[in-house]
Amino acid sequence: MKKLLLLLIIFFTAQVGLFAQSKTISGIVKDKNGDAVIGATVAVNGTNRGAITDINGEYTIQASPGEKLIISFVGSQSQEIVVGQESKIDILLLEDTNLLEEVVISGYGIETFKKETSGAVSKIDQSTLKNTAPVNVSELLQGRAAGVNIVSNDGTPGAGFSINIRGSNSISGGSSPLIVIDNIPYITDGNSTVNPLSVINPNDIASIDVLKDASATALYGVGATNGVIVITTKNGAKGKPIINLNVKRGFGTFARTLPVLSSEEYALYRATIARTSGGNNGGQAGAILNPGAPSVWEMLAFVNQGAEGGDIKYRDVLKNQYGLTNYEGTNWLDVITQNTQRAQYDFDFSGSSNNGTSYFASLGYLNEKGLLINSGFSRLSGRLNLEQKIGKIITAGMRLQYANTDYEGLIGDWRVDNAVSQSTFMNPFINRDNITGGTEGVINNGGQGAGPESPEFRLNETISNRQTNWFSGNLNISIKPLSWLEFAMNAGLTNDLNSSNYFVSRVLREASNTNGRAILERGEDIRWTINPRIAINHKFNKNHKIAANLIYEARKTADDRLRTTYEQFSTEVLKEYTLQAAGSVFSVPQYFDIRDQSFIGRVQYDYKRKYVFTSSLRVDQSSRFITDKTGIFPAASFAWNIIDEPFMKFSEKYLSNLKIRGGVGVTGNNQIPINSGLLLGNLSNGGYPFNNSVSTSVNVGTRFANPDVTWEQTTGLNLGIDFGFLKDRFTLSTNVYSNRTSGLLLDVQLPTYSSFTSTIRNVGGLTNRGLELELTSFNINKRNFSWNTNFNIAWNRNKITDLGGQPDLAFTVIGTGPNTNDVLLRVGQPIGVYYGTIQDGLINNETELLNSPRKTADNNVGEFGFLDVNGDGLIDRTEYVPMAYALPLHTGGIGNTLTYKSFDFYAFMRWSYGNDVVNNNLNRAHYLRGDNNLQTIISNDIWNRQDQDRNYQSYFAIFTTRSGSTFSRSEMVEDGSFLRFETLRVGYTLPSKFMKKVNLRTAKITFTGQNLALLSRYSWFDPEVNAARGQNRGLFPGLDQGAYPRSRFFLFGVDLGF
Amino acid sequence: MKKLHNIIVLFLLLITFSGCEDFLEPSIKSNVLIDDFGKTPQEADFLLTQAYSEMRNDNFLGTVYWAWFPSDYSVGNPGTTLARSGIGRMQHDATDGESIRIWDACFNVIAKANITIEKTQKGLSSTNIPDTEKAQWNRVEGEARFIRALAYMQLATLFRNVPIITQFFKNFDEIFDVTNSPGDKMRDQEILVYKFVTDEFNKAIEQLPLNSVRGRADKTVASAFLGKAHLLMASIEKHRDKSGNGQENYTKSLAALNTVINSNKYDLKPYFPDNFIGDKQYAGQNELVFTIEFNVNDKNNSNLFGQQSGFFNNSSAPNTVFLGSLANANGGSFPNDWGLSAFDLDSPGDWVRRFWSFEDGEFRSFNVNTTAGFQNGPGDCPNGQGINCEIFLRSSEPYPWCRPYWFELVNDNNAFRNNPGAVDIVTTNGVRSFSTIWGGGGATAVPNIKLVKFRRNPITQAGYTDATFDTDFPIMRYSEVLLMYSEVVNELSGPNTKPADGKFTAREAVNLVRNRARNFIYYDALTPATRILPNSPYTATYQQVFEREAKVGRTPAPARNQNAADTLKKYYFQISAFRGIREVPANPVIRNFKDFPETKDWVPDFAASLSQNDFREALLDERWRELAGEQNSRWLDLVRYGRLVSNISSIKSKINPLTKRSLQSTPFGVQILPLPDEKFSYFAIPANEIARNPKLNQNLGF
Repeated sequence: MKKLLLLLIIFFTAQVGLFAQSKTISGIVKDKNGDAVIGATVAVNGTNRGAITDINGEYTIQASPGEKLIISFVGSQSQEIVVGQESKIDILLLEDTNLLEEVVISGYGIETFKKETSGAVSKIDQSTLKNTAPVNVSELLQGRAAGVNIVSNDGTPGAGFSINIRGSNSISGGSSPLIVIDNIPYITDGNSTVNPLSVINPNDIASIDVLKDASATALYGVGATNGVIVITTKNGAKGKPIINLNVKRGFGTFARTLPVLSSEEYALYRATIARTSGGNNGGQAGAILNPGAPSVWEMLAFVNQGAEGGDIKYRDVLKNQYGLTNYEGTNWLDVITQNTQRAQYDFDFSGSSNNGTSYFASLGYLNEKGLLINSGFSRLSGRLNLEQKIGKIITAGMRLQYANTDYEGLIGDWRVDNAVSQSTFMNPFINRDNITGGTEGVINNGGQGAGPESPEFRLNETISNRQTNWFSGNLNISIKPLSWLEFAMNAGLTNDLNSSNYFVSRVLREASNTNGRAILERGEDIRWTINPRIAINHKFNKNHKIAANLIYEARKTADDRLRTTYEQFSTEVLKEYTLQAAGSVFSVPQYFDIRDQSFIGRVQYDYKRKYVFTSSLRVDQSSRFITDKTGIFPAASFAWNIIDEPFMKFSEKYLSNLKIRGGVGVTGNNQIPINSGLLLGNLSNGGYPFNNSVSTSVNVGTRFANPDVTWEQTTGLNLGIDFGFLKDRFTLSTNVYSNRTSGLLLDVQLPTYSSFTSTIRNVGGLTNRGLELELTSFNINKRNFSWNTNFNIAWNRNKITDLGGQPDLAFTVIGTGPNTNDVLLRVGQPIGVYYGTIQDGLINNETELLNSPRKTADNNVGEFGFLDVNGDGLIDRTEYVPMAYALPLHTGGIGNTLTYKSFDFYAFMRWSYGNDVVNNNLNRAHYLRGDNNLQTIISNDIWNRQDQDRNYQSYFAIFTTRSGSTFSRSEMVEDGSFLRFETLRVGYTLPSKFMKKVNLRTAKITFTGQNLALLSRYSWFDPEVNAARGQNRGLFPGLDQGAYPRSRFFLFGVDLGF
Repeated sequence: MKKLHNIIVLFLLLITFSGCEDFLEPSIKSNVLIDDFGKTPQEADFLLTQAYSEMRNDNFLGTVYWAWFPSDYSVGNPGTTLARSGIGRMQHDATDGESIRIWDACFNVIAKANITIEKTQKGLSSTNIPDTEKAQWNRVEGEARFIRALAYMQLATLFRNVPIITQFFKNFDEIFDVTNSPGDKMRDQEILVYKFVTDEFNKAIEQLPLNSVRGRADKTVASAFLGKAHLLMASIEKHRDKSGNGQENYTKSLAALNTVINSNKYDLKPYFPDNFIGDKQYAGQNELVFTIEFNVNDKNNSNLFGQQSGFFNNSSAPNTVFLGSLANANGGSFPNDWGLSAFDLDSPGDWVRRFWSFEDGEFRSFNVNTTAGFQNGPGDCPNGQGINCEIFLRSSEPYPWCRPYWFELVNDNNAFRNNPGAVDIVTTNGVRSFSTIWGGGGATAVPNIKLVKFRRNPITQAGYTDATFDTDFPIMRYSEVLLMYSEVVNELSGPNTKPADGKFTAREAVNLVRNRARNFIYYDALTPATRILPNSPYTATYQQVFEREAKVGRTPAPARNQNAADTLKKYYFQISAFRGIREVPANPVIRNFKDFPETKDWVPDFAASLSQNDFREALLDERWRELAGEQNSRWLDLVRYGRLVSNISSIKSKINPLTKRSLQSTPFGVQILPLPDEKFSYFAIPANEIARNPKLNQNLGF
């Protein structure tokens, strides 16, 4: 704290300068090409006087003779000029080769010039950061780095993401990359309630480096199997203090709707059912229709009366039935959705003083109102980054971050009948005013039965919010006693207080049995990391350079939480705060911590910057493992800058860069549940009521403890060639890789007679192979007009090579009932393959019916036919075949930046190609029950005896086929390929003359459109979905189950710089 | 350079700080580490308590979905739910969902008992423990053994060829060493399992105390189940397999049952329904030998069969008044017309048991005030609440006038939820009537005779709520002990010979149960003007109902002009018995039909003239009447006598003499099963288990 105070004092006093007798000095700042430099800082040393060059490179400043002018500009060497008698000083700025050369941050304070790196690294720099208006970092990364496949789970504000770098290298061991923020690693194992990517304000980020290959990630070893995302936050730059103020406000609308039948169409369609199915449906129609709704017989009776106007008159039946006063009905999707709104405010100031203090401070606030009523996301964040040189050899700094995030509404409601899904199936005639709740919380449709629950009612009577208070403090000290020697240490502390409130009113079915329910969870995650390290960076004989690092790291994560359930409310007047009125309260505490330590060594040698060899060794120990805690992760790589070879002279004119890189390395994964190695029991007082009294019981866990479980290891091989043409006007970076995972952590299912469901074991293996291309091109680079393009594309092939001797492993995702096994991991196949029966047209007539293979229940004409794969005349689970491949063939993105005078444009598109989506919504649409509504796309394509060339089952089938199918079937599979026009941004920078008048450094007006267009054949809202949950969620990509729809967003922004 | 030296020292310090051994030990404070737990009898008892808790799983003793296994007296639900489970229709296979659930539930109980026994063995093996502690260890172990044997007995009756697992798995490979017999040798494994079961019960009897707190097993409880196990073994040997005379097991069974009877701890409750009514279960005579315990807090636990069987109101499924509708959804089966005739024909006047156990009928409403026409449902009653409406089930077809006990239900709009739209209204000569019989799902759907034995009590309590209900589920009643005793003694020495150390002859034992069935609640002041429901808005009197009955034209029905007082007199006892079932008065006057000679001794005693063979047959039906719906008893009786298939086959042509209906074609639909294969008298080993452990063998025929 003292240090902080000291730094603050230094910071404030530094600004106070003396004002001496002075004269006006002016001049022009030019670069080595003779072009004027705009925006260079000219400052008088030791004072607060300064100026910035204008559009002609000119400046004026007050200075007295003897004072020193410091001229600085990004990418240039600073210049110092002592003022003499002259009143005009022109300055030539020289390029700072050290600064301009791109640096790759590998973590632990290790920075390598891009020229010397040998790994596959994608960098996201300031220009990209500036051009987008992301809510969080993951959104920023989408489509921008080859091989980084980020799928947002749905359109929820602040939605979660699943991030895959070069495919999934793990199955049960977690498949998220390691996140490193300012040298502090965060393993997001999916169990953490908070992802550091969602609490960090994108505005605070200086750069993001994505380390993809094992030779680069092996430095991190633990948790780095799935790649590493290194985030560096901003720091104060040399020169005058800068203040930025950004405001963005905008709104959004439904990006893609799903038309359902209007009330009139619905009435017609119901009448059709009555006519086509008649009363002769095996007595089932009465039962399947909703109690209270008109039965098939009633409808038939009406239609058969031959009333004038025919079927349309059936509207009257429905209208009266539901007590409506008009035919309008309700469009339920409209009822539960609203326009989205977003407001984003960012304020920061930064700078550095001449006595070695640099600082960056920011405040940010973001508020988003979601597309569904009562949903939203807000984040309030603050940051202070300070760095101070103490004496000549010591640099100390600290980075403090606070963030408060708040998710409102039913976020991540993956139930099959969640509000979104329900709204697309609700009967439009159901009277919104008739929703009475009461003991069942259901729509009172005629006083009978348990009808569908109103999605509006559900969203209004449920309160759900999740809050995080995240504080992280990060201290770093670097001591350089000799020019080639550095001692450094990073210590980070994160305290994450998170809470969630969930309240369901008793009027909802979910909590009617318990007279209301509130679940309050309060958690505290405390993590600390400390990593002292020694670095040697020595050049000798001019041509040789050795860089060596020795690092020790210790980490501890403690999770301490309490989950309390309140039930039996005598009143609900204060909603989730009515806890005093709860008749039943019980709490479940949880505490565990995870500790790891690591020893890391790394040596890099280069000769003439032409040949670079790097090798590292990392030893990790983790408390997650019981008997075998240690993992050893070596790596080696090389880079050869062929372009520097004498024999390449001939190509000098057009080839500016040619580099071959290669590396091999091992990384490890320890992301297993805490009870994998130890058999745990739960204490409970709800034991067995001997003599009606309370008794205590200890329940043994259902996961078989495997104390021998240890590190999963991935060996990665990467080869890359980098090209640069025409002075790097065009650059192409290519990588091919092969990652082989062994000792795969698998949640192996056990025979149930063991009383265990599964155990985590190191069995099996899988591979990911792929090719990545990243292309940058400065198409046009004129003074007033420039255009450049970034393009990336990645192909990845995932293959399971071994499953511990078993041919396959089965999981149940879509189907109902035990052991449906619709997702199989099978040797030779990739992850994400769904299995099921293959739908084969429709059964058009009785002959076809006779010849069609038998399902378990009898088929009818007008129902789906299925392919009898093994020809035994039966359709059953023994012949499940692969029906959906959920992983894409290739993904990529293309971004174009144009500047014309004061205007700039940025357009970004990204795509995913060749992936299937399992649209589980169709399961419901195809097997409707009761008086549900239909989607227009389906109702227009329904089979009948006259029009047989259709894709959907007959009305009769839809309404009589049993309650959903227990089979997974191919007709639910859709092509999930898409091309999304993600961002369009237009900016206008106000002329500098005008800015001068109002004392502004910069002023810019922007318009940003997000998710402007989606090109896809997918029939539901959006093919980019991921509804999978649980330990094995990585296995079920591309599942759509009532996903939250996305909005199309328009943002207007003003950026001001002082 | 000194500075540099200092820095290096500082760094070395930092690194050594990390050398702590403990740093990498896992720290989990909120959970029990099972390896370190169970070091005292109390801790072991916590593990044991969990074993008891697992028994409440609704699949464990098959008490909900499996209350009605297929038999000659019941019929599987036809049609649509086959995909879910074929057991009710005897078409199950190795992927049958419900049999998998039973398998899982049983082995789950076994595993919890195994871990308990592992801890108690450790506790008992240490030297120098005081006697009091030793007794505690023994009690815990005895109970765990009892629970384990109970689970194995269930598995033996259903799957027969089950692996015997007595360890709590610690080693991965051992899980996959488990095996059973090849399909053609499944009988060998069955014998081993039964042997294991009886051995375990015997060990439990040695270790258990004579008396224990309610809900826990003690010596006599274990003896009762030991008697049952030996009886199963004996009858399988003598009747199903015909491989011997079962003498040895009958003798052992008798010895065990004698222990129970001679302990004088149990007696029959005077009134049969009291066994199933929460506040009466433990009042007065103690008939419940062993129950699965519940208390009012369990209603929130959706896994408990108590909730699903209707012990507690489950508002997420308000339609499930009857077990039938649950079974409907889960592929179970229903009692059929023939099953009811075992009461109506063979045991005339077996009123109390018959009507406490079953309901059958149609759902109608009737406007009392106008008697003008039938309406569609409670919502259509004049005030929208069903008040002043009559809703009845045509329960007990031969005796329609008993139906008023339903009337009050109209006050509870939730009590009967179904689809009134499925009822056809037919107008003939200006009189509206129904043409279809209401059932679970329309005209051709399932027969609508329901098991209500475990549900009756909440219905009968006006204004009951979830929170006021607390009933334990009977697994073994003293009446079953008497019936087993009767069976064993008859097999050993015939109906009329008292065994040396026994208390009764076979006939005396069964007649104790018969005599109790004659007990009913007597109302001594019923007149034609008595309101059928005294505390209800419904004001109809007996006279009104009789008159309307006549109008509707029931068969048999009181004649149109018959004097109401005469009708009441004629059926006084039935009506009184029904009122008793309906109302469950606080201080009932319990009388026996024998006290009223004019009742002609309904529920007659078994005659002394019955031969050993006839006695055996009569006893089988008596077991049905007494134990219907408890512990899949009818199915198991037929299976252990080896006549499941033959009995089902033989009822095809039978006609219920009272209703004059053939089971081939009743208004409820066909009430017989398709001719089954012998293999459907047991379950297949779940296919997934064999897939995961290929050392397991499948049962013969699957």
